Amino acid sequence: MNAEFIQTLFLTFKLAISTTIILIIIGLPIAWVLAYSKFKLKPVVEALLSMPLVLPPTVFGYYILMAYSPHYWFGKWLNHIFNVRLAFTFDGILIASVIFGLPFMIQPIQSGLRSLPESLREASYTLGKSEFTAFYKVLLPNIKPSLITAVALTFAHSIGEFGIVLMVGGDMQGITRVASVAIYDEVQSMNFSTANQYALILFAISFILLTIIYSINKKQDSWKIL
Amino acid sequence: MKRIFIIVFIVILSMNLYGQKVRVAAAANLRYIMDEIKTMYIEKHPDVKVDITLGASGALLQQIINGAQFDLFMAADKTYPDKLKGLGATSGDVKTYAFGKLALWSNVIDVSKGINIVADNSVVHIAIAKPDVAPYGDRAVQCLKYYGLFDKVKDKIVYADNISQAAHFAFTGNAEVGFLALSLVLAPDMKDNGKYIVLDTKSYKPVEQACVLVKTWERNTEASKFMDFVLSKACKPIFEKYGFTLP
Repeated sequence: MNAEFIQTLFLTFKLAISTTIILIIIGLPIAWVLAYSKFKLKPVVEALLSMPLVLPPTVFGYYILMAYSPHYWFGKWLNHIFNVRLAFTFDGILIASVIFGLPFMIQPIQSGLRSLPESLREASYTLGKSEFTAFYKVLLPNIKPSLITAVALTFAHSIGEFGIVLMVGGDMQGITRVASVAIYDEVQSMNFSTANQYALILFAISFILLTIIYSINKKQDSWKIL
Repeated sequence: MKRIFIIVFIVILSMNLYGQKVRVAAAANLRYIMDEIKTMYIEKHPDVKVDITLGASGALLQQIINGAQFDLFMAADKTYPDKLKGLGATSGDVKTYAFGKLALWSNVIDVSKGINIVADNSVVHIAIAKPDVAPYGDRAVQCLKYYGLFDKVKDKIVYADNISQAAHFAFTGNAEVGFLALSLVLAPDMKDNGKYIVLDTKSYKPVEQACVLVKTWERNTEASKFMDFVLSKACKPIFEKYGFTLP
């Protein structure tokens, strides 16, 4: 248990928590739009947002690395205008992690919203509530289980991320070496006891967190008759 | 009736045992060379299948020790096959097949000015393969230390899993320079797309690339024929084409 070890764990949780918070902020509006609007390109948008579920992380990581590369338009633009290079930085893996976690946040919320009876939304509109208030004060509280699932899934998924972080992050200690990559490294260097320590701690913390999250969920776990 | 089935089953099973397949674990810097050697070999022996898996020598060694089914191990440094032999997991001798060279490659900055360019501010990231699993990465660190540059630039170094990934980091420009194997730099993809310099061989320990047959439970005579072919005169022009010097 040395400084590097703790730094790695801290980095892992920093990435997971940041990813989850960012995804809550951008995921809720997207889920709302997908649940309640109809537009022609909707299947395309939904398919794109679901890609991270089927695409192997290494494929995804490869494309993100290309996107960040100063040889191609996105990386070039970032480099030129903002003097920002995203490859091998924390921000770089954060962005990749957020994009990759989109379906884990959006899909549970979207299906939760869709399962609510339309009458609930319409009733709040007839009572004079704005769309935003209706969403925030009426709809969201009623899909608490979906919200909790979304947050738990996103967080857990982000802790376990390996392929993308490895490809885009470059495995730099203290910057992009998260626990999942560190475990792989230690195994490759044959430091099995260190690898085991990381693995056990990750497992324990994630398990405890998820148990807490699901026991909050349990209080909501009653059949609703509407 | 049952007896016929059993006999047929045994015949089919034994046919598979003699299925002529050679599984090679080759160091990542041999990517293009193995393609050419394999093509040449299959031309002469059309009934043989050659499967090549590329990776960092250290990673491949680990896999073989843990039971991965390879017949021939071609590493980028003699210490890896020697280790395998020390564990008693080989059959036959460790043979050196080539001596590799380290190169500095870039498609972003002008490396012809020499290795000191890595200390420049225009170089934000330097791609090097992980020294403890990739021989060329290890030599890159030695080279930097030899020129007194390692401490200056060590925060800029990005360690890739193997020499191919290091090449990829340099190729995409995410790392402005890469310390790569000359054999990868001379490949058409890389040569036409960037500039390189060959680093002075006195700045690092020679890269003695050696191979050995892995001891497997089935006798694979095809594998030892393939190894002989790799070491034979017929393949020497291929190695030279990619910058290797021959023993």
